[in-house]
Amino acid sequence: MIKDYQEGRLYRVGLVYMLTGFIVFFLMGILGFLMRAQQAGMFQLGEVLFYQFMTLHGLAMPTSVLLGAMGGFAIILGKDGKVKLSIPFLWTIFIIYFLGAGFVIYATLLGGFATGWTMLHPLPLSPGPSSVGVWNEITTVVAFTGVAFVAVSFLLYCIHIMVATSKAYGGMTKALAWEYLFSFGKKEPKELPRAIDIIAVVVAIDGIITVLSGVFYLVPLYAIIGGIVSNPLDFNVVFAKNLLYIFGHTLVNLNIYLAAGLVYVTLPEYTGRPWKTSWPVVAALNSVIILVLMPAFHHVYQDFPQPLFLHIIGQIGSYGVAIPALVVTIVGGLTLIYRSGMKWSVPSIMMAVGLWGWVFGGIGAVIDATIGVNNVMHNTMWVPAHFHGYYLIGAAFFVWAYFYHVVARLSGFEETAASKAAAILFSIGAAGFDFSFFLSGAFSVPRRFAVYQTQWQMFAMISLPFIMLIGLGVSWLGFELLTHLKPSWDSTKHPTPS
Amino acid sequence: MPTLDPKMIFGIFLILVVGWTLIWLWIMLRAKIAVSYSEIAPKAAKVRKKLFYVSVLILAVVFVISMYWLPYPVARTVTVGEPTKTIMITAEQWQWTVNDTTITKGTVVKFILRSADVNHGFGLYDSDGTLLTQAQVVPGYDVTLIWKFDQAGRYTIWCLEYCGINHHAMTAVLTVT
Repeated sequence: MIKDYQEGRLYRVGLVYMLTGFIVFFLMGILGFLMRAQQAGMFQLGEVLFYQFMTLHGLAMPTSVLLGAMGGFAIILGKDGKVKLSIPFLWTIFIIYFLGAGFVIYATLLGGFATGWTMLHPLPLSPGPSSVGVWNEITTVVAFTGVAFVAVSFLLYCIHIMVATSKAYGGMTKALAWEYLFSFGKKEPKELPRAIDIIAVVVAIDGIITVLSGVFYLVPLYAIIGGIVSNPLDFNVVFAKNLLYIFGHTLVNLNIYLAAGLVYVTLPEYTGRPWKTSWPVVAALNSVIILVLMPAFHHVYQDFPQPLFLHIIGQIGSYGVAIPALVVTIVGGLTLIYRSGMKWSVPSIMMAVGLWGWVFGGIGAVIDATIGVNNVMHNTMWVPAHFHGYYLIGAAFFVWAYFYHVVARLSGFEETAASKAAAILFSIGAAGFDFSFFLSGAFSVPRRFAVYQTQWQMFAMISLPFIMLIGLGVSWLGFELLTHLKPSWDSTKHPTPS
Repeated sequence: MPTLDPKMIFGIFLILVVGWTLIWLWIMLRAKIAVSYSEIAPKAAKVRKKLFYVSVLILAVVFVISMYWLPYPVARTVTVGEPTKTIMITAEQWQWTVNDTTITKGTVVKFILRSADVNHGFGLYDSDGTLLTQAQVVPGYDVTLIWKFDQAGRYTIWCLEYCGINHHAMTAVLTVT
């Protein structure tokens, strides 16, 4: 499977990204279960620890899947040798990312940092009365620095894949197939970029914008902590929220496109059908450059001082970004599967379920992106419901499907009926627990509450058996992955030139 | 109705999810059958084209209709009328200070929402525990939220923006007679 030394090195760094991401994903899932158990009234973490866990879960869960996606995407982008990625640079990015994660873990678990992932200005600077045992300025700085490290490593990753992909095609516009796009498919170059090449550049462009937004958010906060700015409200709160959500929301959504890239490359191996670069694919992926940046404004619909036109842009963008995803990636994936003679295996089950989950969460997302709906759903459980739909059952399923695919191919292990059963348990558990989130949203249960009123506890109880199913499925798949990791790793050191 | 019912929204969601799941299952149950891709691809291209136009049309129509439920003061004065009573509310970690908690049924109330410290969320729940409307309480601003109280009863305010470790306990009650 490995053709040369360079490809082996690429697989090794990719495996480390995916393995680290998977382990963090598993641990963060345990925190999720404990929080839900407390909300059900069946287990007591206490309020303070609950919010520390909530903050860590909110920061580390998305970034664990992102790390896995970055590793997997580096493999598919660079393995053919057309796009030349620097392995030392990818290791450097990993180390920065890892350090950042360490700072965040320290700040939340040991430093008591409990602002939620949003770190909504000015909460990090105003934790409340100190008598209740909360974070201080030092832990706030550590947490900010951790997030900054993760953001910088993603920035470096974006710059790297953008430069490498652009070089491979002789320029960024060629890597985006703009001549082909704007001639409506009439001027086809000798070699059209693959869908993943376009995704690489699109994600990189928006990733750079996203990280800059995060930097603009953090710098004033550092300035306030450092005493350079004396009044925290000199940093306008609504403006800060916009920066924050352009950063956080877009980062998560870009992750989905990296994960979708894994499906573009892997699903054809199971269906025997190619995912060709056609004009609709080029148009859809290019449209994402603009469309993926607009929905972040839907996070601030309930901030009435926000100018109305930004609310409207948020709704248009949130509706708009669903169309290319549905029409091109979802329909494209289903077309590859339909009557293809595909055999069901762990990766194909998870990719198929991932397509379902992306739409399942996407329906909830589009509904909630309607301003009038958002007025009765914002910050209820509907919000985590929709993003656990497209992120857990969508992006995470794609990424871990690819991880399993790579380990199985490299090590040559044959999956069993138990492997498929584990993938199905994971799927049923994820769908069931997320459905209980939607149900909670329908009954107006607030999100981010450490203590539930009695009438809300039932909704949390419904989640628990489903989370256990996820635990069972992921544990079994994790066991298989870990026990076959060494032969996979070793095989990357023994290229077999074709 | 100046606001949407969350359970009705859930009903629409359920219909869409069931429809999507049936389509998905129908495709998955046919995955094992092997047919040449050259037969499938042109049909899929037609479906894709139709789906594009249909989804754009549906979302455009929904977008226009949805503007009726904008929660901002300019829209609410049209859908519920001009306010006849003003209530000042200050939010701080972790309590609400309300200058008047008694309202007469049928009154259109203008809430002026202020924060003394961090972001909070003013979430107005009816006596059945359904969220009726909300607005973020933003430091540095006086936020106006308009609501008409058509039903008598006990209304609860919950904080709907995470504001620190006693966030879940930040509540207050309004009585409508």
